[in-house]
Amino acid sequence: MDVSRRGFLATSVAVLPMRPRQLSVSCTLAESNRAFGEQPPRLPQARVKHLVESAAGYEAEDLSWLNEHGIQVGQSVPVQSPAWIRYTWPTDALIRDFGRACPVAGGRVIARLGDMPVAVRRGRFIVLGSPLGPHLYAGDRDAHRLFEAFLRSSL
Amino acid sequence: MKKSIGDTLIPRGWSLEQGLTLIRKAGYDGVELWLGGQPWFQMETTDAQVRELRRRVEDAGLAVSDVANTLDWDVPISSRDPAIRDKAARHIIRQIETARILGTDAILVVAGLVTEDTPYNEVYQRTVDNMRRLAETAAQARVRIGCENCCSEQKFLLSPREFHSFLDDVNSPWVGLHLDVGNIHDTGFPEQWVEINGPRITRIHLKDVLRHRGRCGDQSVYTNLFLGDNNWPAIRTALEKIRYDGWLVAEMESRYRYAADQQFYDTSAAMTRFIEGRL
Repeated sequence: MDVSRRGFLATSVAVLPMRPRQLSVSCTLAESNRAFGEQPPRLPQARVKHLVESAAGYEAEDLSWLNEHGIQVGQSVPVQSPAWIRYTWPTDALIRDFGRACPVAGGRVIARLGDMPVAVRRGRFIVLGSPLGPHLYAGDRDAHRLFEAFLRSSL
Repeated sequence: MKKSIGDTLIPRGWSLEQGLTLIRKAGYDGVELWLGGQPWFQMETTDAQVRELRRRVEDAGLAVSDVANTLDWDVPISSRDPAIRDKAARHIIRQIETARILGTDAILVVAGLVTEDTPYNEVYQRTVDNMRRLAETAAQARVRIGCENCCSEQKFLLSPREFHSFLDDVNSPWVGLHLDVGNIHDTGFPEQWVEINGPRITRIHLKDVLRHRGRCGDQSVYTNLFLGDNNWPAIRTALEKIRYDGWLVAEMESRYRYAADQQFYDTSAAMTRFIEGRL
């Protein structure tokens, strides 16, 4: 195939946005790192999304950088287990709590624990105040379904 | 979700018609029929008599939720004795046949019984092998075999992951879990059994449990709904999570000393609150 230099450059520019990872995941818990690492992004044409998972107080972490993006993650609160986080976006799902959860504010609420918002989306960010990774790691069906929906979702 | 109760709970001395009328009047949608448990449903009961049994159930305004049996404890499918295993297979096959006649798609079995003389590893392999064979009959009849978790009484399949692995080994969509949320007692938490075994649950037995009594005492550990230690809101949410919309079957061990029929009304009301999530 004969490709001119101009054509080659044009193609490269068009392809470039597809090449970075489609999902950047920030999480603190070791289990979450392993679990999210096993989940290959499925949609190569999707733009980059940032999934931020709080460790809910189990590990020291600083999520104050999210303030620059208009999102606030509060101090973790203990949860009377067993209780379930009720997700309403991008799909309905019930995910077991992880003993503690952080209230999250500053975006469209996508999950609540009782009345407390514990996950939001805003711009390219999805911020979880209750760990999802350990449930992926444990093979929870709803957690996998939810994560796949995150990958498919358009932000 | 629909409400059912076992015909073994029909007060002693009552006729089937009296029992079915009570069950309907108390607000149940169906009845669980126990093969071997009542005079009207025995191994000797003919197909024609089973058809007549269905007519009597339907005339009372009820459906058959599932077919259980009282025979597995004395005639276990995991026995070392091949003659006993054959006999067990016959009553399970009869359950499948009668389930078809009775218009239901599920049976309950107690699969596998570990004893001092019949060790776990033997019971496991034999039960898997026999369930695979019975699954073929079940598939032809389109009836699901629900293996009940009788945990401590069976000394077998004591945890939800163990049960999940067992079903993996049987490897048939026609064999699942008939979950009894009262039988888990102090070996775990029913809501976790629900989450882990999800769509493999065929039917659910409801009763409550008193964990502090332990299993070695002379008092029953089982009690009526909401009197024990089960976390009913957690169980309810777990069922919502797995989108269970099937039969709930009341299975009480102890009966009321007086006004035996009152137990049917009380249990039915408790089940309605559970279904509606008013806990």
